[in-house]
Amino acid sequence: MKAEIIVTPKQSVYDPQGDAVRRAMQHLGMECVESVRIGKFIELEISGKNVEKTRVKLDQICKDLLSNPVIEDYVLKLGEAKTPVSAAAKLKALIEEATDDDDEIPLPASKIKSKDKAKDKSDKKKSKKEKKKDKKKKDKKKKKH
Amino acid sequence: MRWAVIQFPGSNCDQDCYHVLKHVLGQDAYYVWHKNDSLEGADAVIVPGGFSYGDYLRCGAIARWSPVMQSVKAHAANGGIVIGICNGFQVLCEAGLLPGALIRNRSLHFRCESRPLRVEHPHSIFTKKLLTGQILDIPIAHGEGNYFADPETLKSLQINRQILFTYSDRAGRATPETNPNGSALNIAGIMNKEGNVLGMMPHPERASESILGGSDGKAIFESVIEAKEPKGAVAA
Repeated sequence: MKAEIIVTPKQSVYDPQGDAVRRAMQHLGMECVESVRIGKFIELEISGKNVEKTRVKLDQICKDLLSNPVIEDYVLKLGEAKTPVSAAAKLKALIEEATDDDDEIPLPASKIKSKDKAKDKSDKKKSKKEKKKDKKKKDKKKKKH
Repeated sequence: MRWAVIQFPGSNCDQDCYHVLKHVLGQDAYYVWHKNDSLEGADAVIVPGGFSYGDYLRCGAIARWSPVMQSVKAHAANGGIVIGICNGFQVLCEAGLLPGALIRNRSLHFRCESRPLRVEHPHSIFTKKLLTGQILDIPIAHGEGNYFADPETLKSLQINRQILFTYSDRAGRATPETNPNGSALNIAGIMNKEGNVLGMMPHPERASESILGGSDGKAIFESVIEAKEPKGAVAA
């Protein structure tokens, strides 16, 4: 099971961190940003299959540990899906896509480790070939200039 | 009096508290490790400052679930004295022993400086030896000392006279300018309704010897000693 928890400061609680980021964004030309509130994103991997039982337990832990109900609200998402369910997963997928397209960007160590060795090797071979292609392309471009 | 000084991984004011209690005030002080679930017959417990469990998740959020804190809760429920200083105050709020919470300083700055504190009243075991409106010079050192509570809680703190120390100027005026962290009502220290649990962001243990710049903080520990031990026996 995968679970995702988003913890945010309550509306009645002033978030100085969010406010500092808002000012920075406005300074960088985004005057339209009226409010920024910064929270936490917690991703869990859970063994077992009883979603409802886990949900009840997790909901309690959200109140007791993962958030402080005096100052924070939380949203809990829990699913059986092997792949994560929300925006963070999409973001991860996007980053992976981007790094696959461009060998110039170094892959994070954790990602390389998680891949099969065989795949890894083939990837490296591919990338070498592609790099060669890239170099040729670059050379051509240089000549054009 | 037997004083238990709690040690979490990341506590860093435990030795200061121990030193002041043991060597300055001649008390029977000893450390209790966070994994220990016995307070070994303590009369009073100090939850010291520092960064318990690296301040992970939220300040005090993990420490409150440690074995020793379950004993501290039971101790408090039985009327035992508990003093939480700085990170200790945060732990006590997280544990529900004190109302409210401590959030990031409004300025986002870590404030480390000596501050005038106004004593709100002497009608507590923690302020027994002090006077209403008395100014104490006690250092603060925190990034998350901004006391927050909903308006109802703040009102009940005032009605029940649970606010013991506020950030003020030398004349005793508590204004936004004298507030170092954005705390509601300039709150620097509060006690629970029952009057046996104190939480404060300033460090009285860092202001208990004149050789270290001041001894205003010592009166807080002395108040507790005087309240708990019959007069005359204190000197022994």
